[in-house]
Amino acid sequence: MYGCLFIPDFPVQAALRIEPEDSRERLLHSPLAILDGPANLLRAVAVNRIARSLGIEIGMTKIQLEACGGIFLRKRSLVNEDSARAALVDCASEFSPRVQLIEDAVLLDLTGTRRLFGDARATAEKLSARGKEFGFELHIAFSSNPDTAVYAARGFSGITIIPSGHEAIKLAPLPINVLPVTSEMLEILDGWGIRTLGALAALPSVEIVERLGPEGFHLQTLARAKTTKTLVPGEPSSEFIESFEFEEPIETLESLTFILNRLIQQACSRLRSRALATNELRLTLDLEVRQRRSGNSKGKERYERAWKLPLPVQDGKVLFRLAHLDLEAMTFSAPIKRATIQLVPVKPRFAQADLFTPAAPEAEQLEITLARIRSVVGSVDENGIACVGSPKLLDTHKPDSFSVEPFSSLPRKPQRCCLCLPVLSLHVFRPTLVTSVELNEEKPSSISLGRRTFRVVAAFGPWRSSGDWWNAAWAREEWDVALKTSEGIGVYRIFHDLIRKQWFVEGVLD
Amino acid sequence: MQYVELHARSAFSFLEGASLPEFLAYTCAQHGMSAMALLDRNGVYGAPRFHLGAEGYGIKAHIGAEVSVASSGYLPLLAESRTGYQNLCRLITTAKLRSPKKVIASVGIEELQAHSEGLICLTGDENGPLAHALQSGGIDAGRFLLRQLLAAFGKRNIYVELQRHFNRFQEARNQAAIALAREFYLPLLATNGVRYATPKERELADVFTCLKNKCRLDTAGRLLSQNSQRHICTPKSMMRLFADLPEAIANTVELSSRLDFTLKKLGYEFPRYTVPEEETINSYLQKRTWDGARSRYKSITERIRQQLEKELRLIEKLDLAGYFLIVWDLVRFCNRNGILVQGRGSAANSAVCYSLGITAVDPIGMNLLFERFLSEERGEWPDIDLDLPSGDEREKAIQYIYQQYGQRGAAMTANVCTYRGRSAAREMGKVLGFDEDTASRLSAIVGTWEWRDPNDTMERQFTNTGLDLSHPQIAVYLDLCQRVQDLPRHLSQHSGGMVICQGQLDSVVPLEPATMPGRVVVQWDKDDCAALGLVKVDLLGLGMMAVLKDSMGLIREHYEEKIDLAHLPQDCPDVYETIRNADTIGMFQIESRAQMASLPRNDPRRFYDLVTQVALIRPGPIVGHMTNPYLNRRQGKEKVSYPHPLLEPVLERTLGVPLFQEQLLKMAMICANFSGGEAEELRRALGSKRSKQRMKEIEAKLRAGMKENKISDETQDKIVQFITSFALYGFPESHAASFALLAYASAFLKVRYLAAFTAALLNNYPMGFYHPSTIVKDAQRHALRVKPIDVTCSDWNCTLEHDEEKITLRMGLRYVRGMQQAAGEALMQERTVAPFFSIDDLARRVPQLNKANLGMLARIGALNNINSKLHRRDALWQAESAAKRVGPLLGKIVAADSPSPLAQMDTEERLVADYHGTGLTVGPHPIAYRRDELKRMGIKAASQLKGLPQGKFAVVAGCVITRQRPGTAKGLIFMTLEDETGNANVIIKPDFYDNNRMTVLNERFVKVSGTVQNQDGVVHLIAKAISPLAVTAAETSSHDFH
Repeated sequence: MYGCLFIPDFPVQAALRIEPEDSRERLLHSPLAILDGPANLLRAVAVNRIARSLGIEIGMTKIQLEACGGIFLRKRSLVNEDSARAALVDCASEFSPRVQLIEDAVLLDLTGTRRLFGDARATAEKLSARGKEFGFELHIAFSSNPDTAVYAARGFSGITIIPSGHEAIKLAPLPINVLPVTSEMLEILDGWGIRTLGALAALPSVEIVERLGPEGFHLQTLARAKTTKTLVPGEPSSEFIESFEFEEPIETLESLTFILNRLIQQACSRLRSRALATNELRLTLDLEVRQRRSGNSKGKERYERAWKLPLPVQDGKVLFRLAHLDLEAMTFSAPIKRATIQLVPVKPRFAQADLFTPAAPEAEQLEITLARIRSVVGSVDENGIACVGSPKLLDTHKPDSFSVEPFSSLPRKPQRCCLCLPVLSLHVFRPTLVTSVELNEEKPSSISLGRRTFRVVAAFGPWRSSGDWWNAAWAREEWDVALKTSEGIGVYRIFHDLIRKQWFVEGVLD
Repeated sequence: MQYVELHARSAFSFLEGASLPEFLAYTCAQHGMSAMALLDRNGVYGAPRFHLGAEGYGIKAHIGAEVSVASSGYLPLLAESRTGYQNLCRLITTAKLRSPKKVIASVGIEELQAHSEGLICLTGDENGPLAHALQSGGIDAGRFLLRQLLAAFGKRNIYVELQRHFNRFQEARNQAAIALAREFYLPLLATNGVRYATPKERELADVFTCLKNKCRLDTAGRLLSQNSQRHICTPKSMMRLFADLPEAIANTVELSSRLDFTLKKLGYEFPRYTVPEEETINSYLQKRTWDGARSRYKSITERIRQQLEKELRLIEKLDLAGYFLIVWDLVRFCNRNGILVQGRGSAANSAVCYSLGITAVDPIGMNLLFERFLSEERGEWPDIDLDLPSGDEREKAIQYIYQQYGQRGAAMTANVCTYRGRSAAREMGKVLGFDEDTASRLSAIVGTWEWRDPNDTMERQFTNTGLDLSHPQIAVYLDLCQRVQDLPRHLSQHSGGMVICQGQLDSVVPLEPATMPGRVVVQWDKDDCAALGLVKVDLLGLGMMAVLKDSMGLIREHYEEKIDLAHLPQDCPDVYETIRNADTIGMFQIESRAQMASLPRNDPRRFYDLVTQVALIRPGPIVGHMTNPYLNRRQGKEKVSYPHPLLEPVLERTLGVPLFQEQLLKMAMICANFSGGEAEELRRALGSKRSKQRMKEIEAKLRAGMKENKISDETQDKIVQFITSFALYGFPESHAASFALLAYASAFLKVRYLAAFTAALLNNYPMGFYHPSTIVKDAQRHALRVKPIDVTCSDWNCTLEHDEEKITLRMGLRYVRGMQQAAGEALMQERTVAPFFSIDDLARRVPQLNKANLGMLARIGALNNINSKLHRRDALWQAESAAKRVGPLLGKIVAADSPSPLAQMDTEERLVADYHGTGLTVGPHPIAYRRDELKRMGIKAASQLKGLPQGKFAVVAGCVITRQRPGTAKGLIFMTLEDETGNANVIIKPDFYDNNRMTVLNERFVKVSGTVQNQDGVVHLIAKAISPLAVTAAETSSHDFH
C-alpha cells in the first residue's frame, strides 16, 4: 500500500504554517491570498478556498484584491515553502523510511506498517493528525498503485482509500490537469472534448499512441491506473546543512558553542568523506522572539551570519574559531531556539604557493586574525562600510568615496592611470575639519580653525562637483588655498558643502 | 564686450543633449545674446526648429554639427557659407550611408579635407579631437593633430576651443591647448559646450547618459557629468570665467559675424521636368492641362477658362510647372500600372490638378478656394498628397520616384518619435533601477485613452496604482517622467512623405539609410521640411483605396459589370437612404460611432451633404461648438444666421456655420482684410506648433482688421473663437470633398455589391473602425450568406461563390489563426492538381501545413468536407494522426478518414473554436443562443431600442465591440454592444466609469441598464448599471480606441 500526502494551495499553507497561532486561526476562516512579484505590482499567486468562493482569482493585482475588501494578504516566501516541503517529508518520514518528495506532495511506502499504525484508514487519520501538528491541512490518498495515490491526493480532498482493483473507476471523474500534462497536450485533449481521466481512459489505446505518441499513452495508462511506478527514495542532499532545535531555548553562549562545534565537526567530516571543502560557513540562529511579542513584533527573528574564506578549508577547528570569536562579541535580544549551519561545498585547494609571491600569513591564520580585529573594532561602521578589509575607491565623482572589501589572496592588477598629469598627494583629514571661511569677491580670504585664523595667500578654484541628485544629493565647491601658518606657507584643500552650507578643510597638499 | 555661444547640442543629438532647440534659442535670447550656434551630433536634426525658434526671438541661428572623425572623437564644424553647409551635409550623408545601423558614422581626415570649403572647425570639448590627442599622446600628438587640421581647413578657419566647467583636469587640458594655440598662432575661442539650457536639465542629461550606456543611475559612476555647468551661461558670467583670456570671448563675436549662413539660404531647388525640345516647361504644362480639361469638363466654359488661365499664370510666375509635371508623371505611371490614385488635401482646390487627373474633385463646380493651395505671397511650395492603395502598389510608386531621381535625389521625410507617457515611464523606470518587468508594468498603467481627464494626470495615475509619491525615489521617477515628455527619442521614417530635389538632395539636408533596404530618409520631419520650403509629395497608403480596387475586380468577375469610380451614378436614392439610416459599417469615414450618431440628423441627400458630413465630425467643429448648431439648422430647428452680413456668401453653403478651413481663411480675408497669403499664414500659425505669443499677435491683427471694417466687439469675439478653435483640426473643403468621394464610392459598393465589398474589406483588414467579426455580422444582417472556411474551396483571400443565382461569400484561409500565406497558397495549388482524398492526404501533399495548422483547421470545421461528412472532432482526431509524419517506408500509404470515438462539439464549443481559430463566427451570434433567457430577464434586443421614447428605462445586453473615449467628449466613454439584431450604443459618464472601471474595461459581454436618449432617431442608452454577463467563453474582441 502506498500513501500520498498532498498540500492543496501550497503557498497558502506554507504561509499559514508560520503564522502565530492566534492569527492562524483567524486566517483559516477568512479569505487569504498570497502575493508575489515586484514590490509595487504584487499579484496573487495562490488563494484559499474561501477566497475562491468569493470570486478571487489567481493573477489579480494587489489593488484589485484590496478593492474586494476583507481579504487578508500575505507575501510569498520561497524559503518558507522549502521548509514546508522539508517539514512534509519529516512528517511522512515518521511513518515510513521510504519517502519520495514529488513537488508539493510526498509519496510514502507503507508496506509492513499495519502493525505499527493500524489499517489504511487508521494510518491515514494518524497522518492527517500529524500533518495538522505540522500546520498542514492535507489531502491523503491510499492505493496499491503509487501513481493512483498521487493523483487521487491531488484530486480529492480529505482522506481517500482506494481498494485494489477500483483505481480506474475512482480516478475517472478527476479533471485531466491533475496529471502531469503539458499545455500543448492539454490543448489537444481539450479540443477533443476529453476533460476527465475517465474519458481519456476510454479512448482506444492504439489510436492514442498513433496520435499522441508515448506521452499520450503514458497519460492514458495513468488514467487507467495501469502504471507500475517505483518509489524512489530521495537522493542524499547536496546541501551540507546541519540543524539543531533546542528543546528549551538557550540563553548562554557556552551551550551554543558546545552544539555549534559539534555541528561544524559533523558537517566537516561529511565534507571530507566526499572529498570536498568549504569556503563559506553560514550560521542561522532562530530566536524565540515571536512568542514573547505575540506576533506583532518587527524585531529580528533570526540571527544570520556568514563567514567567507579566501580559500577552501576542511578543518573544522578553523571554522569553529572563526564563528566563536564573532559570537563572543554578540548579544542576542532573545533566547536561541534553533541553530542551523550550512557549509557551502567547493573543491579543495590543490594549488602550490607561488615562489614569487611576497610572504604572507597563512590564509587560515589571517582569517582568524581578522576575525579577532573585527571582534574589537566591529564589523561595520555607522555608514555601513566594513571596518576590516581592503579599501576600494568607488566609481563616482564624489571625492573620498570608498568601500572596504575583504582581502583577496589573488594579487590585484594595478589599474592604469589614463591621465598623465602630475598629481599632488593629498593628505586627507579624517574626519574632515569644520571651518569657517571669509570670502572676498567670491574667493576665500581667510579661514578659521578653532580660535586661530589663517590668511589666504592664494586661492585656486572653485572646482565644482555634484551628484546623486535622485537619491541623496550632494554638491560641493572646492578650493586649493595657500595659507600662511607659523610653519610657513601650507597648501590646503578646503570645500564648501553646498547642501549643508558648511565649510570644511579636507586635507593638506604635499 | 559681448559673447556668443558657438557650441551647443540639443536633444536632437539623441541622448547627448537634454533641451529642445527652440528652448535653447529662447534661453539664449533671455540672456541677451545676439546669436547662437547649434551643433548636433552627426546631423542637423534640430536645425530647422532652432532656426525657426531663433527667428522668432530675433537672434541669429548659426548651423553646424559635431562630426565623428575616425578614432579621434567629435569635431565641431560650423557652416560659414552655403557651400560650407552643403559640404557638411554631404560629409554626414557619405558617412551615414556607408555605415551599418547602430554603428557611429565616421569620416576620415581626407574626406574632411575634400569637404572643408566654407566650414570652420573648432578643436572641440573633452570628446573633441584635441582632447583625444592630448590624452592619448600628450602635447606632441596635439601638435600633429593641429597640423592635420591646418592642412585640411587652413589657418583662418581653425579656432582652439576652451571650456571651463570648474574641473581641474579640464583646466590642465586648457593650459595645454592655450600653449598649442600660441605656438601655432591660432585664435582661442571660449564656449560652454552647452548640453542643456538650464542647470536643472543636467538631471535629464544624466538620465540620457544612462540610457545611452544601458546602465542605471546608481551604477553609472563617472559616466555621469561631474556638475551642472554645461548650461547656457550669461555673457557676463562667461566673461568673468574667461577674465584672464578676454580674446577668447572677443573671438566668439568675431566668428559669429563671419558666419554668414543660415537656413534661410538653404538653396533648395525642385527638379525640372524634361520636356520635348520644341516645348518650354510652361507650354508643355499648359498643353497637358488644356488637354486634360477638355476631357474632364467636356465643354470649357468661360469661368473654367478664366480659372485655368489664372492658375497657369501663377504657376508660371512661381516657376512651379516642373512640380506639377512631376506629380502628373507619377499619376500617369500609376494609371499605366493599374494603381488607383487620388489626390487629396489642398491640391483638390486646383483646377489644374483636376485637369491633369491628379485629383478627382472639380474645384470650380464646388467653388473651392485656390489660394488655400497656392498663393503668391506665401513663397512656399504647394503640397500635393496622393492616396494610393496601401501595400505593394504604394511601394511601386515610391520605387518609381527613386528610379527617376536617384538615391541622393529623393528621400522619405523623417518622423521624430518623442518620449510619451508609456515610453517615458518605461525608460525612466529602467534608469532608476526598476527591473525590466516592473518598468514595463509601470508603463502599462499610464493611461492611454485619447481623452484626458484634467485630473487624470500622471501624478493621479501613479497614486491610483498605489505608488507612494512621498517616497523620494517615486517622486524623482514621476518628475523625470513628466520632464522627459516630448523630447525626441529617435527618428523613424514617415509613412509617405517624399522630398525630391534638383541636383543632390544631400547638399540640402543629410540623408540616412532607412531600415527598409534601398530607402533613404532625410534628417527632418515633414513639418520641418515644409517650414524650410522643401517641396514634398505625400504618397499615403489608404486601405479603402485597396478595398475599392479589389471590389471592382470582384464585381467584374462575379457580377459581370464594369465599375468606373470616376463615373459612378450620382445621387442614388438607395445609397443615400442607407447612409441616412446610419447603416454605414465598413463605409469610409462615415462608419464611426460619432458619424453614425449625426447621420440621421444631417440627413444627407446629395454629394455636398456628404462633404459636410465628413468635415462635421472632426475635433475642430466639435470643440468649436459648430456641430450641433449646424445639425439643428439642417433640421430646421434653428434659424440660419450669420455672425456678420459680410460673411453670408462664405457661410451660405454651410448654413452660417463654418465647417471648412477655407471658410476660416475667407472669413479672415473678408472681415479683417487679410490677403490670401496672410490667411494661409494664419492657418499655419494656428497649426501644430502654435505658441501663445503667436496666437496673441494673430488675434490682435484679426481684431485690428475687423475694427477697420466696423465689426462690433461681440461679433469679433465670435469670429475669433470660430477661427482659433478649429483651424487646427478642421478639414479643408477640398480634402473633405476627396474623402466624400471615397465615402460615396464605398457606400455605393456596399449597397449595390455587398458581397464584393465585404470580401474586399475582409481581405484588406486591418483597416477601418470595426473588427472583421462585426463586419461579417453586419453583412449577414443584410442577407449576405457567409460561408465558413473550407479547405476544399477556400482561397487565401475571402472569395465569392454562386449559390442558386445568389452570390455568397466564402471566408478565406487568411483568417485561420497562425496560418502562413505560403502554406495557404501551397494548399490552393495542390487542390488544383487533385481534390484531397482525406486529411492524411492533405497533410502529406501540403507539407507546409504544420501540426498546429492542421489542428486549427480541424477545430474550426475547415476539414469537415474533405471526403465523407465528418464532424469537427472527427477531423481533429484524424488531423492529429495525419500530423505525425511517418517514415519513408509507410509514406506512400494514405489512410482514409474514419469516424472518431469523440463526441461532437456542442454549440458553445463550436463558438469557442470559431472565435479562437478565426476571430469570428459565421454561425449565429453568441447572444442569439441566449435570447430566450434574456427575454425572460426583460432584456431588449438592440433593434428594439429604436422604438423606445426618450427617458424610458431599458436593459440591453451584448458583446462589447468598441470602446472609445474621444478627446472631445468631456470624458464620456462610448461603448457599442452587438447582438444578433444589430448594435446598441451605450454612453458611460465619467463618474459612472470611475465606479465600474473593471467591468467597463475588461468584460466581453455585459448587461447595461439605463435611460434611453432618443434624439431624432439616434438612440443611446445612458448607463445607470452595468454588470458582466456570462454568455460564452469565446474570445470575442473589442476594438478599443485609445
